Amino acid sequence: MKNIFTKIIQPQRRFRPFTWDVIIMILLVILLVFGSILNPVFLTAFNFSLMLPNIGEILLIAMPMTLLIIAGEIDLSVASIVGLSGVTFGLLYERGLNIWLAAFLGVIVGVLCGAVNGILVARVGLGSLAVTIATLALFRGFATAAMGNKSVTDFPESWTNFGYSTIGKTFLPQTYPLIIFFIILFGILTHLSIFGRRTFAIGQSVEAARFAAISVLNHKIILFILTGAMSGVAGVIYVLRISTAQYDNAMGLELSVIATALLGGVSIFGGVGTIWGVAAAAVLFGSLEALFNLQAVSPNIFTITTGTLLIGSVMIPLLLGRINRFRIDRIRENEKNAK
Amino acid sequence: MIQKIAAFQTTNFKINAKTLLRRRESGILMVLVLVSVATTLINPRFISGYGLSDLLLNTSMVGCLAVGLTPVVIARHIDLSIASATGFSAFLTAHIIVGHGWGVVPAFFVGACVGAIIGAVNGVLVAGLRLPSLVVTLGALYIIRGIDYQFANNKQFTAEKLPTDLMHLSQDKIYGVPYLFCLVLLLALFGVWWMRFTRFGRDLYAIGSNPPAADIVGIKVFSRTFFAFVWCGTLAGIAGVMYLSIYAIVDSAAFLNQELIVVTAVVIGGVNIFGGLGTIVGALLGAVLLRVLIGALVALGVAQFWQQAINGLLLLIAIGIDRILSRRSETKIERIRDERKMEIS
Amino acid sequence: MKISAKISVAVLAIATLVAIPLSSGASAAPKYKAGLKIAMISKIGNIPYFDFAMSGATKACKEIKCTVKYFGPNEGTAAAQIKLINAVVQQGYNGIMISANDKDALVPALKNAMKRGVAVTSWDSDVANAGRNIFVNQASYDGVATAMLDSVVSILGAGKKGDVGILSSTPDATNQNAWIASMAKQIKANAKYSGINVVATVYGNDDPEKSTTETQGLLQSNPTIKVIVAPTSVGIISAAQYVVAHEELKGKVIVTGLGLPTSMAKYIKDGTAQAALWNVPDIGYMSVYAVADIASKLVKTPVKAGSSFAGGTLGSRKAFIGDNGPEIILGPGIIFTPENVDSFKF
Repeated sequence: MKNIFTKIIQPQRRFRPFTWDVIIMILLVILLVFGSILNPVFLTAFNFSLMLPNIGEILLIAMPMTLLIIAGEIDLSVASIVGLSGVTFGLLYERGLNIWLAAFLGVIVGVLCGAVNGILVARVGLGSLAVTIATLALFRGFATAAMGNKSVTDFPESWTNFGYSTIGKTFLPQTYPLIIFFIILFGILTHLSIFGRRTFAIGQSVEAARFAAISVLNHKIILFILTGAMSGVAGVIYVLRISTAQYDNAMGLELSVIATALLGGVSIFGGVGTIWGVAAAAVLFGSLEALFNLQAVSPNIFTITTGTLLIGSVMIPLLLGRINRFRIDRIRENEKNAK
Repeated sequence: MIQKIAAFQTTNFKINAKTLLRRRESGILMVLVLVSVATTLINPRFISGYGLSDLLLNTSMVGCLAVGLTPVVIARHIDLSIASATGFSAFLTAHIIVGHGWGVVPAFFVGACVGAIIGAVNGVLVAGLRLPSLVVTLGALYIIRGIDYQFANNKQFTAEKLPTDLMHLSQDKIYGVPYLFCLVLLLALFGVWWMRFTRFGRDLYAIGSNPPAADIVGIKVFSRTFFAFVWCGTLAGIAGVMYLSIYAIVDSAAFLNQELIVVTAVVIGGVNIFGGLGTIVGALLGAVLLRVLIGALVALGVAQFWQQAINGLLLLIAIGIDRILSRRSETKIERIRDERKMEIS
Repeated sequence: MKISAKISVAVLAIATLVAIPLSSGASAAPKYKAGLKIAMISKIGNIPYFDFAMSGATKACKEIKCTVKYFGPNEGTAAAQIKLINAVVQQGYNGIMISANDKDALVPALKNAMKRGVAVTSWDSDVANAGRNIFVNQASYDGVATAMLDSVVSILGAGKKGDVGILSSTPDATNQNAWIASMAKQIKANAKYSGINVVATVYGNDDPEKSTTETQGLLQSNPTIKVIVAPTSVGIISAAQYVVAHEELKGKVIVTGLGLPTSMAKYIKDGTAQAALWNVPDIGYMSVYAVADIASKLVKTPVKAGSSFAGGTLGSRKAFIGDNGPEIILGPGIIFTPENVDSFKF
């Protein structure tokens, strides 16, 4: 039995050095080199200090989203959760609550939203795409109802600095130690923990995961809660970054997050994906947009490039796979002939 | 489990599935009537006068798109680029017909062609290369909108420039039913015939229920799926022309971010997002119900800031009911199947 | 400037606008820094309004020999504008003129720009005082509100009572909220407007589809409405088109508000709508002069009340301290009539 497996797997391992997450990192390096030649400002600390906060929320939410898509589910309501937890944070602060407590409760709202999604998907048994389209409207609706046509803006300067300024004279925004911590945490969670192995197992085959005594439903609920919690954190950071809590914060962010995850090499069919690939994709997106803006290229071209990269992210591995199969066939033939 | 039902329906739809599906659609119809009557009792203007024809006119676009999207979803795919295609077709059509001084019929022809081309590209990528439709059409959403932005470049067409007979088309009606809605009904009629009574359409149900099995039994998966995408694109193109006719204004942001509304309508209409289940009639009713709900909230004077939350809640309820109904039919089908087995043995 | 010459003849000045003396001393051309680079950032890149403003900006730039480039974000959000501001700062632009999507969200980015020596003016839609050197206001908030109320009174008939519905853009739009608030204030304070009864305010989000649905709902739940006020150039078209499409409403409901003359001409001529607006190319023109004045240090920052800004052919403007820091006003607005509407090319 073991022999059969090694025979099937080994040739593929040997001839597949370029999975999509590796390609995306190579692309990122090429972009950084090419960009610095094209525009002297591009690869400077100052540019990165301005660019990094723009992708902070996407990075934060893309991490749990990666796990969620690996497990074969999806969450379209993340941007609405960002909006709702931001509104909660803002309104509670305005009512005179301690700002730490208000921020904490904002994150808690995110956790609750995630739990609602998780329970509806795993316990009630509804499709995650349909459920989260509904909660996308529901959560945004709550944010709209709570905030109406006003906005909360008078946050203390030390807090808004956290959302926007850098650490001392370095290029690293103050939010990034937190964000990097979460990236490492999710990296470990995904690739080095039992939790991660179980997630991959569920994504590859729910039936098989059940036989391996994995509690699939609870696992999925936890994944949704994680996604909600990180959206909550992103919601608070978003409010601080633009120093405004409004009902329409981060409207439409869900598609950017999903696009980032897919561009990072996560398979929409589940079971495949890496955290570093997604993190690289987020930086790639951010740098590419910054470069386009620096070169005064119309944002329309960036929109078109985003779409092209997305289709490329599924098309290129497919073509590479075809080439790979062709090569394997040839090698097998050679082996046969040699015999 | 869902796959099992669908497979069952495709083979036995004349006997059992018909009644089951009818029940699903009559459920939506009941809710529809209930909401309409309740709203009318509180605010008679909801239906009376021009209320009803307004409602139908509002439904035309989403209805047309829902009819277009249904075969794609039944084949276990999705088209997220549908709203971008609608917007681009609206702008490009306006550009072409204004430039040539053309009227209504060429406008619809141009729109349908633009949409069909977009659908064909999606179709080749999804059906030909077998790429995941969610990723491909999400990419297409960005690409088409980007091209639209770039092409339109801050331009706008308003009633001033657009042909007047196209504007009048949205105002004309037969017995209170707007022409545009009649057009949607005609398209839906064709869709019903196609999906229900032709081999072509039944194949799509089979593909959606179990894609590998469809391959194995020799169904022409490529041509079926490809045509579903072309159909979806074409109807998106036609919806774009409707946009011109109804709103008499178009720029590059036309119908921006409306793709999920169309998916919502289809889901409310009982089309299963995992393929293999649902009907065109259901999807159309779903679109009507969605617009009626929005219209009802507005007509009842529900505070505007609450409308979206209520919409989301109602959608959740709709999905929930769908689940309960399908569970019930699952058990029923299993019972029938068991009885059959007993008979055979 | 041909258009503005025509306007000054055809214009019906809005009564309560701050009257600004047109100085004749514009002949002594001030010295502008050579090679000024100015970035014009709009709210969103896909509507013609900003294109028309850009045409004025380009014209001004020709006169003072600077360059101006248009930056329109793909989505009308503060987040998208922040990215553009950052890019512009690094490209070495000397001046930014911005129509802000949000009052407070842009402040950190704009502060950063000013710290690096970039002159910042807001125009069309203001940001908080800390984020700009001066605001080039198209017309005072009260002035715009008065123009719309006057239009409503002219439709209802002086001293008559009537129900009015408001169709705004997004619920958090700075300008629209300020105008609506000012209208409410003046209705209470001024006996001339006491007949106006605002029954509802709805938000069409500057989207034709939503605006149409909301117009429909507005009339369904309030059939007594005689006038719809739409202080947004997108919503007003949807409202007018809705009325035109319904025989039953013709003559019973009149639309008024702010709209571009090129897109409103049809409705103004057939009596469906009235519309007012400021001269859009002129606001772009004026803003370029304001930002160039500050970038060339012809006006000292922080701007004090009484500082004089050159305005090219429009004449100079004196700054004053408004509710939200220093501003200058373009004024006066224009009310479009069936007779004059065709003479405007924006």
